[in-house]
Amino acid sequence: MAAVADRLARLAELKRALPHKAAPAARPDELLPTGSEALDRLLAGGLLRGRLTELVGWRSAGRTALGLSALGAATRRGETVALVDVDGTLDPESALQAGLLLERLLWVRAGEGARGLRAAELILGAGGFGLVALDVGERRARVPDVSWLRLARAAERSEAALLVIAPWPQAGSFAAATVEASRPRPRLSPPLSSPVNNEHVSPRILRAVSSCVTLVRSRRGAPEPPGELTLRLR
Amino acid sequence: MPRIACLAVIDLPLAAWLRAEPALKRTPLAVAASAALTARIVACSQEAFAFGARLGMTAAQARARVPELVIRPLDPALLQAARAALLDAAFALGAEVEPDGDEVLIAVGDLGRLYPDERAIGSELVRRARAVGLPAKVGIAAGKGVARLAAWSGPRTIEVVTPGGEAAFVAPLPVDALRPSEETRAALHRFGVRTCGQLAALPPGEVALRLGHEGARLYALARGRSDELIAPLPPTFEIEEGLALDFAIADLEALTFVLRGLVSRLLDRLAARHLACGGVTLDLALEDGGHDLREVGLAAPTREPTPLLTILRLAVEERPPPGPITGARLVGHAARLKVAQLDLFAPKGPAPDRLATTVARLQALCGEGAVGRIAPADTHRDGSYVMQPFGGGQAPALRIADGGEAPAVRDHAQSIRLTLRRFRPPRPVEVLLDGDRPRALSGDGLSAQLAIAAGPYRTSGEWWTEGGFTKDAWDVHAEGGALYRLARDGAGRWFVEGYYD
Repeated sequence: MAAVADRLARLAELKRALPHKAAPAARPDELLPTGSEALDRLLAGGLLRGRLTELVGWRSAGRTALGLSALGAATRRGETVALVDVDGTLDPESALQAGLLLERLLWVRAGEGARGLRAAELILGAGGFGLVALDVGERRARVPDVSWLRLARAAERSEAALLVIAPWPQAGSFAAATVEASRPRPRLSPPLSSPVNNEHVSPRILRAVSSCVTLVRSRRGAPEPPGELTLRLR
Repeated sequence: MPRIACLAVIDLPLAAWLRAEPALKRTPLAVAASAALTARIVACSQEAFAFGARLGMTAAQARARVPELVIRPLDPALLQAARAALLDAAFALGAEVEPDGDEVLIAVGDLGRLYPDERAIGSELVRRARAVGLPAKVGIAAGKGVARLAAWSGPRTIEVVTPGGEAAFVAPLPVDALRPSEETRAALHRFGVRTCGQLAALPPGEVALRLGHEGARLYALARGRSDELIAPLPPTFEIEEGLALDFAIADLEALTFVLRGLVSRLLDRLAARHLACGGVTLDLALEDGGHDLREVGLAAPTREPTPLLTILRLAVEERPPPGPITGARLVGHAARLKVAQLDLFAPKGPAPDRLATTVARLQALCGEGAVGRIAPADTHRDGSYVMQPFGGGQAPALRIADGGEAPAVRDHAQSIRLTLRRFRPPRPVEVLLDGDRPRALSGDGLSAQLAIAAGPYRTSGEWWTEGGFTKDAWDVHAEGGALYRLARDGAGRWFVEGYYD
């Protein structure tokens, strides 16, 4: 046991000693900006075309908002995009507020996870889509690694950015980067006080949510420090 | 006299079968009047003729003489499709066209500016006919009658009769080429008239006196005169191809094989008229006498057979016909090809035909209505949407002038809104109130104490219809961290409409 611990300690020392080998910086035309400064900074410019990027986070941390923001930014640049929505939860008003040009969005309500993966693969196979987002929903279903491998390969062939939106990381090492949104904190409006007796005269309104976005894993060099994300509510 | 071209197919029943089954080329093939063994042979290929098959034999006699003879019955649907295909080839030139049995007459007088000479017009017509699978001959002359004679009796594939040379062209032809009735033919033979020249040499009054109106018409034609005018037919935009099967099929692979031929011929005909297929109606004749009819739409007009065949196959796969199939008919709706103006700076987007196939595959995978373009419905009811066909994205792109981001892109980058993930349908819950404010919710897999509740945001509408609605919505922050949208309807029932994310 002591020998193993010693070897592990030496390995950790060696890792620290070696200079971090960063992947070469991507060309601007290989990147697809997401419309979110915090996310673009973490991803060193945006989503990488031909690669799988994961956007994870539990309820209300903002993973869907960031996903729609990326789709919206792509459509405004003239890209044709697709959203494979396993649970069919897309709200058209939210999509419009995210700046999505709905004419350029192919929406697929897949209904179940395996069907969603197949649909995403079909869309990538068609070619011509700049960004394909796969929102896997919240159902816990085991997805075999080979499915992620096929998706990653399909994205590579089509040169489309593939964005997987999920509550928790699923694609493992097939993802070029995994970004996590976490710790949502509500932000209330400042209280309004009466000028006469300084008492509160109106309830505080829920204005926004702040959350933390972190690059959990990346193949493109040293991770950036976590960013702060503010998401407006109404 | 107007210059007329006659586009004709010799042995159309034979040509129709060869068009449907190109594999039969260079095999001894005969077409019988019906599928019975006693049916007479009405057309046979050169190979069959060389082996000894003759017109007028029964199918049994022909088979006895030529054991390897392939005999096909006369198929009205195939014949009709071949005639229509010949018409499409003629329409391709954009002139006035009149169909007449196994031939089509075309007014070519106005085409002189488009083609160097009339032979070039003839070549183009032959090429167009070949493109739709028909070996055609062309005769060009002054008047319909001489043009017909040139097409049917001329020694060459393209026979152009020079203006003024009509009588000289017609004179050596046998008098039977004028297609007289049996009675008139017998009379002419009795008179010893064998050629058109001999008929033209007779005194006109005597011919009319003995042979009547028909005799006068034949006499004028024998002298190279025909003054009938073209009765033009307006072009049609429904292209039909069909096939009756010898035996019923219940297998998708076999049906796909049949459909492949129909699709290929349909698209060839559309291409001959510079058109594309915007959608098809598939009519499958069932063994019990019924019909299985289905409309198959396309995301974009196409001339490619593979995507159209894939879409048809998926449509049949999705809703299989109720019984074995004895025939198939495909009606193509003609449309202009979408010509996209590509932008030097904007991304290209998916190719229309591949997109059409992909959308069809996705529909087969996820179901009708699950694939398309989402658009807000024309109502104030929250979350309503309509699904529209996805056309590949035709919205104008924002130009990025100086390498930076367009203004609208920058605006959105600075302010991101939480989006609502809608539960469809909304989940019913029980809510504990503190005064009028929600304090806790439970039900349908959700249970939470509510730290903050903002609202109510009241909406109502459509009160002038039976589907009127009233709703009080609350944005609630559960102690676990999630932010829900809670709503109470007019009947006081509570629902979670979704959560913000």
